[in-house]
Amino acid sequence: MMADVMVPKETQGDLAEAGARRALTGFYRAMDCGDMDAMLACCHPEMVWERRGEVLRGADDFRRAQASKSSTLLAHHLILNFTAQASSADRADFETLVLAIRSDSGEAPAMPQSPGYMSMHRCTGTAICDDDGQWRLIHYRPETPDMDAGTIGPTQFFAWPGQAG
Amino acid sequence: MAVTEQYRHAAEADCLRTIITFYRRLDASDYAGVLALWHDDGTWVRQRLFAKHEFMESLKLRSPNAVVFHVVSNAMFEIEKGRARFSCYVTSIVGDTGSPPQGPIPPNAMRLYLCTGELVEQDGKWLMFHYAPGKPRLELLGTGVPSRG
Repeated sequence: MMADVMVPKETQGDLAEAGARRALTGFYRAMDCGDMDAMLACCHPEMVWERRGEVLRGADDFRRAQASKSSTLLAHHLILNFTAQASSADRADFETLVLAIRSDSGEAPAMPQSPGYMSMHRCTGTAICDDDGQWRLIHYRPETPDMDAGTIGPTQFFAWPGQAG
Repeated sequence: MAVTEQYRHAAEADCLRTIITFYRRLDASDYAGVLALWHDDGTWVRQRLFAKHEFMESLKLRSPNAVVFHVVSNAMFEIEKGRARFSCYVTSIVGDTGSPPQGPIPPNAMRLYLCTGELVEQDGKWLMFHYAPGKPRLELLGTGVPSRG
C-alpha cells in the first residue's frame, strides 16, 4: 500500500501511472530476456493474461505459454504512448501501444539479429500496488495486431511511402 | 539508501528527461548541449571508454550528412538518493546519402540497443554519469549503410 504518508490526490495519480508503467516495462524486459522468474515477479498471483484468444491464469499457465515459444526466438517489445488512469491510490488501468519486433534464425541468437517480423498491438491492462509497495500486473490484454508488417527485410522496411500518416 | 515514492517518481521523470534531451541534442548535432548534460567525471562507451574531455573530439567524427533519430523506450530505473542506474531500449534510425540532406531522406539503417548507464544528482539536476549503449541486438540495413550514429 502507498498510504504511508499523506500524498496529494494529483500526485497519487502520477505515482500510480509510474507504478503501472514500471510493472509493464519490467514484465516485457524479463520476457525479452527470457527470465521467467523476473517476469512472474511483475505479475500478481491472481493475474489474468488474455493472450491470443486464450485466458491464462497464474504462474503455471504463464510458464506453459512461454515454454511453447521457439527457444531461438529473439523478441523486443517496445512500449509506446503509455497512459494510465488511477482508480485509487493502489490501482491503475492503463492503455499502451506495443511494437513487437521478433526474429528467429532457428539458431541460438547471435547479436545483432536481423529483425524478421514486426507488429503493432493496442494493449490494455490493470496494475495494482501490493502490500510490499511493488506494482504488479493483475490483468493484461494485448489485442491482436491492428498493424502487422509480417516478414520484414530491407526491401519492405526501407520502401517507405512518401506520405506522412 | 531507501527513498520515498515521491522522490523515486520525481527522480525517474527527471532522469528520463535527461536521457531524452541527451538524444534530442545528439540528433540535432548540438554537441555543446550534449556535454552540458554530463557530470564532469562522466564516462561514455563509444567504441571505447571516453572521458568527458574526449567527448567533443569523438562526436566531431560523426558524419555531418547523417540524419539520425534515437527513439528511447522501456526505460527502467534503480533510484538511490542522488544516484540512478538505468536501462532502456534505444532504436536508432539513420539516413545518410553522403551529401547534405535537402528535405526528407530515406532511412538506410535501423538498429535496436539495450543501453545501460548511470546518472547523478548535482545541484538539483540529474546529469549523465556513465553510458554504455552496448552492441546492437537488432540490425536492419539498407543500401549505402552509414556508420553507427
